[in-house]
Amino acid sequence: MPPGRGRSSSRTKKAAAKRKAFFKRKKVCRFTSEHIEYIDYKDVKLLQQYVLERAKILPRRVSGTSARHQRMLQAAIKRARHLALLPFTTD
Amino acid sequence: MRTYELAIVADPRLSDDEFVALVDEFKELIANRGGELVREESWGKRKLAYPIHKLTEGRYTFLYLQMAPKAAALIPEVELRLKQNDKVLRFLTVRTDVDLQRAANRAKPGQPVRTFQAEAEPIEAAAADESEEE
Repeated sequence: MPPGRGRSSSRTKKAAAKRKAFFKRKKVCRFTSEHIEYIDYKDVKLLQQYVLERAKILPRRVSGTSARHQRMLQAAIKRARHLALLPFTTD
Repeated sequence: MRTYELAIVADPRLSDDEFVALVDEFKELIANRGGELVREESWGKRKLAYPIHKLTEGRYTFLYLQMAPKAAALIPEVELRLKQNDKVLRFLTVRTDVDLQRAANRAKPGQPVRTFQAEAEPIEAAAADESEEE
């Protein structure tokens, strides 16, 4: 992936045209768009969507989660792991 | 007023009565030290994401507390007792008033701050395989 990642909106038109072939959909933060302001560690179903198969936390580079929400998510996942609601790892 | 959430994961081998007694012990301690129990949420038995002390299940309870800042000194005391109690597999106390207030200020009017409510469904009640296997 070229440096600067997929932030197409901040690119100039020319640059955008050049990169048309690898058009990247702009990722949006789900929590921002749904106006979620508090991420509960008990909401296992939600947290599971942000955990990879090996139980690693999904990076925001992949999910597009905003920094603020990623921090909340991270804390919630770690709390859930402590209570054995989520695994630390598989195997 | 401060609000806290106290999560307790207890040994699944406890009988219902023993479990209630265990939780009551902590509720009493909290009440005696000026804490107020606002709501209690019990999830019953639930599979653990990883084994703890070779157990594969736990009994989950969440106590929603409220207290004046002065009374908050009861928290470390409760935590110490939880730590000493070997029927408690895990516990977690989280102070929620600050985060919830911030969330409420940012949320659109009319929008619920907490998106997660304990659903009515009893989560994976261990009716079928009561005893621990493997």
